[in-house]
Amino acid sequence: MPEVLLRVKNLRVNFYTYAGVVKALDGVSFEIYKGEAFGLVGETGCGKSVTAASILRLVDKPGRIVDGEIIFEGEDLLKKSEREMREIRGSKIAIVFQDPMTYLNPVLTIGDQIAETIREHQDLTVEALEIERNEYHNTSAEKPSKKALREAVLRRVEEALKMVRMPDPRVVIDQYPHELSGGMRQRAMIAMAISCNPKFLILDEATTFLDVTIQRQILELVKDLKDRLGCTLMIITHDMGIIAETCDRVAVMYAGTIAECAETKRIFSKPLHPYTRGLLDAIPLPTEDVKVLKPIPGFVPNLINPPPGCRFHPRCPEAMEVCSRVKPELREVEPGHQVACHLYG
Amino acid sequence: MKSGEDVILRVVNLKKYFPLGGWFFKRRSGYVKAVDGVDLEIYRGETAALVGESGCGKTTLGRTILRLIEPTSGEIYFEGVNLLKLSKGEMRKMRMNMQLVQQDPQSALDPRMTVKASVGEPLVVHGIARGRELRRRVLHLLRRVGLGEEHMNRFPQEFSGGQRQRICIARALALNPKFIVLDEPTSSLDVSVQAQILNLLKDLQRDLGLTYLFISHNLSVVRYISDHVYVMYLGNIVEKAETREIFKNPLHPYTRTLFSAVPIPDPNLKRKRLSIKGEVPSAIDPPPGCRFHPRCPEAMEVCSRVKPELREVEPGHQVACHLYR
Repeated sequence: MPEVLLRVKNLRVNFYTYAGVVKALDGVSFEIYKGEAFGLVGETGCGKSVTAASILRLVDKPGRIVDGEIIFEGEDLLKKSEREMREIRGSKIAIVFQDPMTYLNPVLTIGDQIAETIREHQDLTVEALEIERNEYHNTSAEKPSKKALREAVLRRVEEALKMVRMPDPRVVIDQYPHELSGGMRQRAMIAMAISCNPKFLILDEATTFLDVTIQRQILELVKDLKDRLGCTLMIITHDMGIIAETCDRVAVMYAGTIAECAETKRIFSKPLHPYTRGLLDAIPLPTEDVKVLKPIPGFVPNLINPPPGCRFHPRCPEAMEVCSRVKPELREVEPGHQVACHLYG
Repeated sequence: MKSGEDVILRVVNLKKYFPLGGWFFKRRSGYVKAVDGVDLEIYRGETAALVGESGCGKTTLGRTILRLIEPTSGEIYFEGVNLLKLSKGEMRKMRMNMQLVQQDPQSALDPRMTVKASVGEPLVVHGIARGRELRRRVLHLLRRVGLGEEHMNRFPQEFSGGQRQRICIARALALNPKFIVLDEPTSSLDVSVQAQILNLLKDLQRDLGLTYLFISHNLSVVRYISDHVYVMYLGNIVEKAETREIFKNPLHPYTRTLFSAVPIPDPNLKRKRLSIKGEVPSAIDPPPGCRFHPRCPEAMEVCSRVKPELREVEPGHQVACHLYR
């Protein structure tokens, strides 16, 4: 049995808006094993990003985590103090967001922004002392000078930029975000995320804004980094193609719930939940010639007043009477394959 | 192959340069060559797709064809009429035949106008219908795109993205056009809704005999909907062929890397990856010769000197590359 790195149990998040209470996550549970790439896929508003934000405890007002547990390395993140969470964010769990321009500070250089993360989380006294002794020939130094410390941080920044294969890292260190292209900005974001060797890296639609050829470069980079750093990945996307190519296991989300969770190959070869099947039938393939697309009728429900019972039942081609009354639990129907549907009750 | 008479739209050596600077005292410092000598032929009743990455000039080309942007030079023939020779008034009449559906339905609809007013506006502007007749026509259009009477008096913000795109399509259909430019009509939509809109567009084309120019960066969608594909890179068409042919046998190195970069939703598929180095250069000062040569894995010495012409290498399959001559 593989070791569990992160376990999310019955997570509930509400957003208290003027229009009413939006039940963004309604009892989300999943496990992520150490060293795997776990995918979270679903359409706009299904709660993928809120799940990521909850893991980092970044759900802001009017949102609130009302129930559940998030166990990371045996400890419940929801019981941690804000100070303890600050320690964890960036050093143990890091995240790369969709739009780098909103998350990079426009008035700080790339180098300064990455250095900030490193200074916050890493103790570089040893490295700095070494620089002090070997390069400044100050053998008697007990404590590194500020200059040596700065140099140590700078080297780490450069190392991080080299890790993400940034061309000319020395130049980029002194550049501002607006001087970089979209792909380079995303590389800088990834460099920042991996600068403290996190155990768990979340990519929240990290390639959605990029062109396909640049997306390809970033995806290759992420796969390569996962192998080199040995970190666990959570990849959030709406693109089934990215899931198929990068993830070991995947959870399909619909309207704030997990509809199905299994190994990636299984999800594609034997999807069980009608929503997963509908989703796969609705995607055009660049490899196949004529395929009639079968759209899912209707649209994603309003989460202020979600449908009772199974949230998918109004759009489901196989809805039964029970579906509109009882919410189906996520249960294991075959080893490693969980589905929340009354068809498999 | 279709005969020459079937060509509904022919674009010859179209160029659009946007001047940089040149404001007040400042000297003009150069041009963004957004569209740089493009030839197109679109057959009646088909869907021609224009694919390329952001900044390649595909949207500018689409808008220039409709003369929403005045081209720098070139010719555009719609059913044999050179659009660039028409006066403003004549062009306005001509536009009844050619419409545009934009990427973002949110910004394409006026938030202060009801659906009825938005969809009916073209009919009012051209003095075609009013009063009860207008209402009847609008209702007919809404039904055509899968909406109904109950949606008539609502405002755009009350609709989901997919429904808003349906409203935009209804508006584009109001004047019974022959030709519609669809500029990334589904890229802001979720996949389940995207499929609804794609199927709707296909049905409309079949029932009304429409011709589409479908602009997109999504190759899966292009394969599903189009008959011909034009691949654009930095203001130039680099390859043109029938959809089946180009997906089976892409010739230009750019087309090949572009196609192999698309993530495919099939975990069992093993593909040879063609990785591409670098990023799209700026259209302000594009590379000399073939614009793709700095990123091209198969670049030769000639590529940096001579710009390759688009030429037919197989029947109906044109490519602009020195590898094929």
